[in-house]
Amino acid sequence: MKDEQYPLLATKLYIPQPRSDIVQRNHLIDRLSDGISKKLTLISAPAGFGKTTLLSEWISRCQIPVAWISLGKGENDFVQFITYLVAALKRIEESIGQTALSMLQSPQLPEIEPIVINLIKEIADIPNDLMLVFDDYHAIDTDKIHKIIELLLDYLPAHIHLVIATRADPPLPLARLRVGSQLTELRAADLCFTADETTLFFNKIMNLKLSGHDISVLESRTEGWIAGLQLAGLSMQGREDVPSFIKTFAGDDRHVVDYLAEEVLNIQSEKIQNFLLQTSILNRLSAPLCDFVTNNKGSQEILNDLERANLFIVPLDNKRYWYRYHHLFADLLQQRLRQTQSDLVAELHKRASNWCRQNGLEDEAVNHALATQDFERVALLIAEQADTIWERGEHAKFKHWLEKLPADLIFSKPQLSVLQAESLLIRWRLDAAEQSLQVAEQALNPGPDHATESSLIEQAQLSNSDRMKMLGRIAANRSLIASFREDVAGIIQHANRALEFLPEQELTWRSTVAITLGDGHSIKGDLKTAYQAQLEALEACKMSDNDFLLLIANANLAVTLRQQGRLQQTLEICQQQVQLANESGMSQTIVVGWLLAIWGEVLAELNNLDGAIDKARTGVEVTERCGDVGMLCKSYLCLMRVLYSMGNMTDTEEIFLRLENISRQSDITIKTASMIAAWQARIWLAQGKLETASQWIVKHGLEVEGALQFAHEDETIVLARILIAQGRLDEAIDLLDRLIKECEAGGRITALVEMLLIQALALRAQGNPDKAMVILRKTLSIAEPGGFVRIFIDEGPPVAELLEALLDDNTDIPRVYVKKLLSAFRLSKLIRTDEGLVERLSERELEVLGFIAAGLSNKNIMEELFISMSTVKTHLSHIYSKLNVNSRTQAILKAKELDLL
Amino acid sequence: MVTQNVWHGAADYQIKVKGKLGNQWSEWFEGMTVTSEGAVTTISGRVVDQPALHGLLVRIRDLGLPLISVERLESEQNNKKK
Repeated sequence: MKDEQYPLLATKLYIPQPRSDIVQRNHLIDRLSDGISKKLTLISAPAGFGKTTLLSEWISRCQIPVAWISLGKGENDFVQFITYLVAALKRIEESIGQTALSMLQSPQLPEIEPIVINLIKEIADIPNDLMLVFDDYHAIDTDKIHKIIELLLDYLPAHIHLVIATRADPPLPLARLRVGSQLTELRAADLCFTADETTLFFNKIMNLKLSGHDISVLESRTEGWIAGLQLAGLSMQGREDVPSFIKTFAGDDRHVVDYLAEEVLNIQSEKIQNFLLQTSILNRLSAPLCDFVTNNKGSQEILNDLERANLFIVPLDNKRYWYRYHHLFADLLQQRLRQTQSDLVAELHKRASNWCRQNGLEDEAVNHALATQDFERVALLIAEQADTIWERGEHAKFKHWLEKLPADLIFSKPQLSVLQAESLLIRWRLDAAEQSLQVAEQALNPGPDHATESSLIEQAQLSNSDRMKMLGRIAANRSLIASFREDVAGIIQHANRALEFLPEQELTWRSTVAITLGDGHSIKGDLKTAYQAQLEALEACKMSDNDFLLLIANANLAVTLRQQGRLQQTLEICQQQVQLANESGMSQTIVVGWLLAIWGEVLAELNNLDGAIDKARTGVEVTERCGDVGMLCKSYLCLMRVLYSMGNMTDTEEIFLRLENISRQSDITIKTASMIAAWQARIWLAQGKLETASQWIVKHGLEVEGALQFAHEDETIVLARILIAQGRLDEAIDLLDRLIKECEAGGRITALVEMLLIQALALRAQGNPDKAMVILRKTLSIAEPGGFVRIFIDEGPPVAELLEALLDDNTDIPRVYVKKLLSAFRLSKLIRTDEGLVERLSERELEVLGFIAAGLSNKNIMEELFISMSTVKTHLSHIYSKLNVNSRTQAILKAKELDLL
Repeated sequence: MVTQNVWHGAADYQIKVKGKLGNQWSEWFEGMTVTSEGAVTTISGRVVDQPALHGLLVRIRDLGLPLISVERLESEQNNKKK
């Protein structure tokens, strides 16, 4: 958020300057200073108790850097709040908050915890003491923001102190903080002026020379309320008959501030009175704005005078450009305005709205229009802002405004209906979003029965290019809805239409649509077209300014390349994007996590298992912290593959359980569900549970002769594996033939390599070695360009035998590649220890090792496993030699060291 | 007796605050009747729903008027079923 984009930003972060003409309240300042070592300082009192004044006085004496935010209704939204918090912190430490801001850019509603925890870590890294001050916290009533404050209180280190000034106790765990002595509280009773302070105020500061009796009358009437005393002082200054004023005041029952404000107002010149009343409608005042609203010149002089006289006005920056009224008095002035010049109110708001609109204060322009219920105008203003609202993700604000507009107004303005649709879409309310889109479409293309006067006027007001843009956006939204529903035909149809209608400059929209189009082809399994579309999407995203979209486009492309078997290119993208993300502070975003997982999986395929597990685990860590279930599942799948290749079945099963859990609780895509199901069966096969795997086929409704669907390809491949394990080789080979044909058509090289390899093995088992060799050669020729390694090794020793046999052949084969694969086979049997490579223990040997560790004797083991004593001893001797030990005890220790148990 | 409309229905409320305000404040309080007796002001009338009630209380708070009581009046109108 840059200052030029939002002129009032600086005023919200401005730390009020201490004033020279106030009562020094040292006892309170001491209490505040004592409280710095605690977590929270809470100043809770109604308006007019001098909270802000006290704080600013304290801060000026304090010497600790302060990040200050003056809160208002506009910050009562999680996204806005974080944005302001980051802006305030940036003034202390420029580098803070980049990641948090980029995480806010997520096209879906961002998750609180990861963003806040990340921000807290960055804040904690600031070495010096720091104070975070939230003024007017009562403006906040959003649970998410209260949650942020709770997280701050829980996790911020001791040298960071939180201060909250408010008119209402915030719903934070205050009791807990009190009990833990982590809270300093100043309440109304503390903030009332004492008798001494009142005396000081009237006689020294206001220079009034009142008697002790007078002072005590005033004190009793106002009950020490500072605002009241201040107004009383102002009323008495320059007045001839002070005693009679006091007497009348004391005898009157009227609400203190109501009475006194009128007194003070009445003694001002007419010019000032008018100024005060008319500008009271303004949230923030500047001379040019006031001139415009009051239809006068000379506002700057008046503002200066008011400030000097300490009359109602508070400066909001160092340049003396922006001011605001003291909260209490603004209300009183407004009420008086309504009472005395009510017919002027609407006109004043209108002028204010105009000025704000012309001067880049769009929110204020809308608020003023809302104040006079000029809904037509509000709709117009919102429509003008439609693009920035969407770009900046300011959906909460928009929803808030939309709720105030009458339905038929929204109906008649397509820009509003489209915005409404987008706002619903982001909250997954797909049906409602589609309805709004239809409304928008109708407004743009009214049929003969819909041609009312208002829509005709609408049509006249909308230029042709605007109309095209709206139609494009409607189509774009529909393509998004289709992508959420995995409706491939819908995605492609609407995306193409959107690209047709959206003007060139609509970069963000065009990029989003291009991405969905790529998704559509990818879901269909048509990799060649998907690749093209995704390349175009990437180009579009580069031109838009959206880092998040760019990451997604790159990740999608990486996945397609991986599926196409272009492993090196996949690596390049992953490396490049992760590095860029690290540099730009986006390393914690979910897409980067996913990219890391993809990277890890490719490294596993290239047989770099150490590198693979490191990247994959890191990737999963990142995606676990964010809310996107889809990307989390995809990352888990990558990690699981790596673990499986490493032979770590325990962890493979653990990750699988997590996936299963997620798939039960959340909505995931059909493809992801299919991949998870396929893994289930694969794990069972690896565990030797053929019966269970066979039942799985029936349970998932898979038929050997059934039609092939790309969405279920992974499951179908596993079906072939099960058939082979069951000995139904003919059926398996036929099924694979059909699968292979589909795969070749779609250009899905990775899946193809797996299928061909399995088929080769099946042919060999069938007793058809020549055919097997033919298929093997084909597999190698397809796999070599990408450099596939692990996919061969994971199929086990039978593949090694086939490859050895191939070497003996004198025909034209990729010798170098085959030799590379064979040496990889040899190395894979070994595990790495401190003494070098050690041969891997077999499953049976691991079992025996487990029994030894449990303290079983050889006789027990024999009984447990139904094997002979000599077999037990053979196992033991293999175990000892592989682990390079001499005894049971040593074996157990070594096994623990190597994490084998 | 609590009726079905407690959450979303409109009801008559009587809110007492400390400090005297005249009826010219009626519009400020969304058209409620503002009367006072001594130093206590009563703001009374129909409130559309709970959010409106809380909005009213915030206005009262922001004027610095100490809140004495908030009472929901049972009347025939309240008990009318929609």
